[in-house]
Amino acid sequence: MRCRYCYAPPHGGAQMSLETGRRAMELACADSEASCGVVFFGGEPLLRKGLIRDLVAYGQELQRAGRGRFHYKLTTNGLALDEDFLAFAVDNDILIALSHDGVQEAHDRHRRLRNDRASWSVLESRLRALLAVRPYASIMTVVNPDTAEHLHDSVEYLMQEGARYLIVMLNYDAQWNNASFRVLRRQLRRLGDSYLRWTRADRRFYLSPFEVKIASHVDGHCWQEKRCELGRRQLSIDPSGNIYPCVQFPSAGAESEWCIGDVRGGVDEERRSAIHALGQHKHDSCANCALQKRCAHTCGCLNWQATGRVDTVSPVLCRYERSMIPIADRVAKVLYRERNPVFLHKQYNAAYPILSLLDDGQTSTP
Amino acid sequence: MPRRSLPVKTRAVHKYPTPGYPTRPQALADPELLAENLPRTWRGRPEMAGAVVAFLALNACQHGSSKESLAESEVRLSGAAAPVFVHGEGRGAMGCVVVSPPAFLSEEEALQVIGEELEGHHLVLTQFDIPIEGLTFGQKEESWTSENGEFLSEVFDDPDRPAVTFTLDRATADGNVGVEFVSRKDYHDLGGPRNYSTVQGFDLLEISGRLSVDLGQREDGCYYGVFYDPMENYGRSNWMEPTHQMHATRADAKERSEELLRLQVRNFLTWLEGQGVL
Ligand code: SF4
Repeated sequence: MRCRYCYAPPHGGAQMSLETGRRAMELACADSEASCGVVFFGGEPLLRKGLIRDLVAYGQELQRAGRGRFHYKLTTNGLALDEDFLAFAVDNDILIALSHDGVQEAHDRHRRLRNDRASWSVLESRLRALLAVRPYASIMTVVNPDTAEHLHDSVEYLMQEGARYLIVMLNYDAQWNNASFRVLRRQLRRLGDSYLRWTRADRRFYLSPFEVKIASHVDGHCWQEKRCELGRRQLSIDPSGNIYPCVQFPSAGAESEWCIGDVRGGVDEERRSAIHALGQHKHDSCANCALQKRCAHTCGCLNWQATGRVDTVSPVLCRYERSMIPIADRVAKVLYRERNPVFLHKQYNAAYPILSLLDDGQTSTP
Repeated sequence: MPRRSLPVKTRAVHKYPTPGYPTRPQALADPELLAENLPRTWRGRPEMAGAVVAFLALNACQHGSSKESLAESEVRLSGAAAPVFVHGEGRGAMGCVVVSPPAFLSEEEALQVIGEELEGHHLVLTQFDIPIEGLTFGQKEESWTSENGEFLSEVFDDPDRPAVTFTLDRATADGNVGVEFVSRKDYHDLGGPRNYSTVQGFDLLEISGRLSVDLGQREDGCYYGVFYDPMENYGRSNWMEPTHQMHATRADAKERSEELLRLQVRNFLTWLEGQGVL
């Protein structure tokens, strides 16, 4: 596909070799007893199904040899998601995240095929097939200024199709302005009303803009610590085996300051620490902000995407946080006052995901 | 990578109320909260019951040491009240010697204006006349004495009248935004002094300022806007006009007051935006 907002557009057609993938896995589990998360992303990882199968098999081999433990996730545009691969994913407990922008008007605006044809209708059957076996598969929706007006309907459409785990992200790199933000805010408010309705109807779902902001208060005592830290918890590896501090950075290239090593020589710890320190920079603009503990302004990756600097907070993010937090709080306050059981357990019972699965009779984890 | 300047700006929120729902440690301090509120589909399923009990015990272990309490009254909610935005004098007097009396807006007229402006920003005021517990105003009396040809005012507590609990005019359904229009009718209930002579003065602006400070100290998670009647007057030259013309000039004055009130509300909306409510 040729999605217009892609942060890793195809260039040069470089492909990861099995050897590079294996080295990456060895490196990941070298210092850790815990289960390592391996995320296949691209470009489009399902163009290399064979490589994925081989790497999952290699992970099992390492596990049998007591050299590491792994769990997997894959982010796909869905075009190559066939029955065969779905069965493989279910058998090997690979979580699948599907990029889908919701209703056709929103989805086809940016998610185009290579020949610039629209992709929504091609994906309908893939979306249903995925949700049939994995109702808790993440559906990742990107909102742009020119698709913001469809946000509510897009989420509603995906919920109607059976999606239960929705990640909604803004394209922070886009040209947002006051008018498009007003549209977005109206849509978020509508979503808030629907969130109330769906929760009151006992529907089980995860809708990221609300869950994340409610959690930032509910778990305020430890929420910031749980957040990703640039270059610490998650590294990204490009097809040639170069290592970067997060998913946005491979596009900067191996010659850039953001390359912190490669799978053969390992991570340059000095460089990694320097980048981590940059990400910890306290933004002056946020120092006196009452929302700073609940805001994602510390996400260096996101700041870099939007402003070109890790240590410069994105104004788009700021505006979004200032809009979203009060909307999420309003919804949570109403549901708490009603003592809504689904809300209470979702937000305060740490075992809610597992109990929900038991209730569903599901066996896979969300 | 992008290196462009963006048309939206970073702006800190200086005050934000504590949300009206508890943190996890506060919630789990009440063992009954989750146990007594089970989702409908979990109830009556014996296989779920055991799992729920086991997991709730686990939650309690993880957070049992917390001393934070769940009781809603103890979930601290901070409050915020906008300053009173000054558009219009908000002062004047009625009585026998007043030659240029103000045209007062009725509560209905003013709340109509306020409602229209707020609805333009999707704030619908569906709650009416909400008593605000703990916010009371003692009743005052004013008397005038003359000393060396100079008139002096003295204000004292009115012993015959009990304190009045404040009632907020309107609020949104979720109680997130509340508004009060301080009218002539409210003046005494909000502590404005009664004058038993033939002239009664009104200082709605000052009363509104005090009310806004009181509301700002509450911790109930509501964003308050206090507006006052601008009290545009008829104009001295028109006072001697025939009755039908006087009605016209009063209507003009009220129209001007409505416009000034609209400006107060618009300032309040901008303030709400700054607080991140809009
Ligand atoms: S809302 Fe804006 S100013 Fe406040 S912490 Fe977030 S980015 Fe900083």
